[in-house]
Amino acid sequence: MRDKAARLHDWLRDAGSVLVGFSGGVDSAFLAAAAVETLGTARVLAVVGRSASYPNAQWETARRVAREFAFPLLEVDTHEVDDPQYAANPVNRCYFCKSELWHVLTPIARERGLAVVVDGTNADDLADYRPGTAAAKEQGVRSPLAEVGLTKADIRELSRERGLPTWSQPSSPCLSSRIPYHTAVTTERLRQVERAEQALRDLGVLGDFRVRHHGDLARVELSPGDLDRFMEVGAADTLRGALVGAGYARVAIDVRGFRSGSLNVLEGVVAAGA
Amino acid sequence: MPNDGSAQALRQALSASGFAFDVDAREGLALLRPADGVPIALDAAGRRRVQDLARQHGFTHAALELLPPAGGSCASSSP
Repeated sequence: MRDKAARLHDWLRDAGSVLVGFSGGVDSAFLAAAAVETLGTARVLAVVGRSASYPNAQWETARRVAREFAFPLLEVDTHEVDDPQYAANPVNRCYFCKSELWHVLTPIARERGLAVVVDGTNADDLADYRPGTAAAKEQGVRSPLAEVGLTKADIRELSRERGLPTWSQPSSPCLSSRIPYHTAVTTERLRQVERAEQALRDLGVLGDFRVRHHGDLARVELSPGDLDRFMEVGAADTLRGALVGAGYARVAIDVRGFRSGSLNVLEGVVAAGA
Repeated sequence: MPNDGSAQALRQALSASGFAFDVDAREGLALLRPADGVPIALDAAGRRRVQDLARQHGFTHAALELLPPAGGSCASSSP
């Protein structure tokens, strides 16, 4: 891990100046911190592409981290939900999302004289189904964390050592990932999922969980501890009430629990594991 | 892709294992509803058994529908 961290430092130094696509998540927060450590604030700009497909709480986290660690920060809006190709929610939806993001961010780098646009893709991501990677490559975006071999576990540990509050943050894919492919992504559905997941946080659901949108049905994936808790009738009633309050007519608990990328499995995009 | 026939077969397999569920096939998802309207709280072993049976019948996911609150007791989990 130390060798990889050193290679990252060299990578950033060789880049000279960077614009970091910054979401406030574990990976991009670490990357922005490392960039500022290596290059100084004059040669780094963290840019948040505010998307309707993320909860508003995400931007609050991004701003807080940027303030605490003195990242130069710029916020701009992206509009991929307005793109019919994105909204149709095809299997490669992420390609259209990232195309929009980098289309908005790369001109900013040119205007500000920043040499390289970078994202927080890590080495573990390379094994996942990630159609957004192609969009990044098309627009010349680099992924230094992945290029030097830093895994998610490495990034969390290095973040913890630096005191980044994001080190223990659960993974936070966009809300569109809760909607099955070929079911249109609309602002209304995104906000419904956001309300539903916030309602569960308000009930004390912690760690990794998802509310998967199946039209009138919310299928909830919980961590093992919360699965045990909410399988009890009283707690289940409370959970159901919270999600009905978010606009769902029917509520179900997935018996296996939280599974990253589970809609990819449900839709046959990737094979089901053991 | 599972269909109504798969759902019926899963329902029978669940019943044979002591789980009284109606099964609604939603593509790869088996949506399980307690057959007599009484909520069933599945423990970890019960959940594993249900998941295994669902997978054996072609489903990638199984989810237990939460019924609206009503009077009455809860049936115990795995047999």
